[in-house]
Amino acid sequence: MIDITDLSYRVNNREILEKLNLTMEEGDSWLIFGPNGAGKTTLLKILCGFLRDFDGQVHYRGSDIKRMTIKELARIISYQPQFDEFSLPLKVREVLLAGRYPYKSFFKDYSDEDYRIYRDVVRRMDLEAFENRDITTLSGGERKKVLLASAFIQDVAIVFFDEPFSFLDPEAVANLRKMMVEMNRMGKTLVAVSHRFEVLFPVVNKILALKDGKILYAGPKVFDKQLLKAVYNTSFEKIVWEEKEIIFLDA
Amino acid sequence: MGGEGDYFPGCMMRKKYIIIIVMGLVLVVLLPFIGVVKISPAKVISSEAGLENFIFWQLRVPRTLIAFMVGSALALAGLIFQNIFKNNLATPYTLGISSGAAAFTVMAMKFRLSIMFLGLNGLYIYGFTGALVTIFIILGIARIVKSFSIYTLLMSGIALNFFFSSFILLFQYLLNFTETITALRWLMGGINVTGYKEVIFFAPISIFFIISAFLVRNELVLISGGDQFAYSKGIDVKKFRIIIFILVSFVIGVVVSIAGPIGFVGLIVPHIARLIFKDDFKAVIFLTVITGGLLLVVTDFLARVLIPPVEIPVGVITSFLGAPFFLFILISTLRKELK
Repeated sequence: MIDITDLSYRVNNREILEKLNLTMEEGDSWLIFGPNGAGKTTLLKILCGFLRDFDGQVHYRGSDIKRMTIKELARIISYQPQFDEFSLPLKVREVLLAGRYPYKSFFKDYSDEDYRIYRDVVRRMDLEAFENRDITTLSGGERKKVLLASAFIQDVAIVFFDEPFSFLDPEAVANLRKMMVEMNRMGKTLVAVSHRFEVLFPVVNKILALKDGKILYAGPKVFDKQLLKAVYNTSFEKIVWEEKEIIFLDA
Repeated sequence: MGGEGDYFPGCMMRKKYIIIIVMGLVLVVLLPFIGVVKISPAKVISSEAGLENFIFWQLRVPRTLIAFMVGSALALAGLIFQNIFKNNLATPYTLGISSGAAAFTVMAMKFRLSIMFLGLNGLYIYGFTGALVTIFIILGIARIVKSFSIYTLLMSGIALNFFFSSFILLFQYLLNFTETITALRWLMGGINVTGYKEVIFFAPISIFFIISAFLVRNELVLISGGDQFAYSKGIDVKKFRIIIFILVSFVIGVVVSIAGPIGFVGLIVPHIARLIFKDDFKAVIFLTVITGGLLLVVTDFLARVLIPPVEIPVGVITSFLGAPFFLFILISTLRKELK
């Protein structure tokens, strides 16, 4: 459903991404990993439509991303920022309801249907206690949950995550990962850029290794020590314990 | 069934709005009667022309109306800027936009560039240009340093404030004695109108501004969560921002040409509206408009009556209150960030 053909991106004659070719199927969960400066964030920004001055092509379900309006794009994909910037007092329910924005025309208010979908997600994700709270008073993990809920309310097919686990405590990391898995199980395509290889590797089904703007590997998940060594210059180990894969840094 | 009412309990809130509206109406109706010349209601209604009648209908009523509209426009401009820049210290006044508008207006005064438009002084066109130029200078700086942090914005604002102040001083120096007094008085910020020319001119702009703010309330909510967040929810952030900057610059240009650069209303009012009335953004807009208008009506009233028969420029009072308030917000913001 996401077709990337000969995607290149240049800044000041420096090649950030070089002729990437990739297809991401519906329902997959992808972990995009690689060292700092590999081009992960740039790739994410292009796929989310933030950067449009790239070479090559990106197609969503057959339509060219460059020809899609921002609203059309927002009905298919949702972006979960590393940090949200909410710093002014604002009700959580307004942030959540904003998920329906791409379906609303300028002069109309949110419809009954919008409120029904909103209500539904709030109930399913146990967010009733948060609805009337001020978003700036929530903890990092709670804010992630609210933003994730807004992606559900947005009713998109693909959710992009930019470093979802940064600055979260272990409990919040575990909760967020659980929600991501649940999201994927419900049929949403998941694409996460993350340094937390050990957290996400066990729960995704596809991986994309990026280094110096090139794809080292893209496809079904394999635990390939040589690949990891090539990407990160560090060794990882995997053990299986009670049928769970556990990845750790072999330092 | 359906709609907002089912999901968002609003009845308790509604009482608050009624209280505020009633309070506002009482103030707006009552204050014109009080002043150096006390005016009896009987005289005002009677059709005979007289000094009291003139003072009431030609001076105090239009002045109160202008004060309300100027106050609500400044407060609303402040609210919009705070959301766009995601910080409650960012307002047209603190970013130097009002002083940009003032500098261009003084320049127009000096060189008598003002063209008449609909029987009104066209100074506001220069105010508008000054405001717009200032916004784009600040955005240019932010783009060069690739940071929209509040420190970048405020520092640029301070520098531009200094720059425009020197500009204003220069033109003041070049003006003749009478003009200097007029310009100085105007620069302190004050509402001195006679008759309804300004009211008729500003009322439609003011109403248009308020309606626009209500129409873009969802966009303003989303944009306060960051540009990429807003974009990923379907907002063309760049386009939206430019439209808003043009709108706000125009309003600020008009306000400055009518009332001079009145400071800190845009800082104080939205802050209070957000904190005290914990409610939806729609309500925050509404309360910002009402309390902004009332704040200026009351300050203008105080300006008239505090040291009779002298009138204190209203800008002096708002800055006197506003500057400590600015420090208060700055301190609480910094404390939160350092935690």
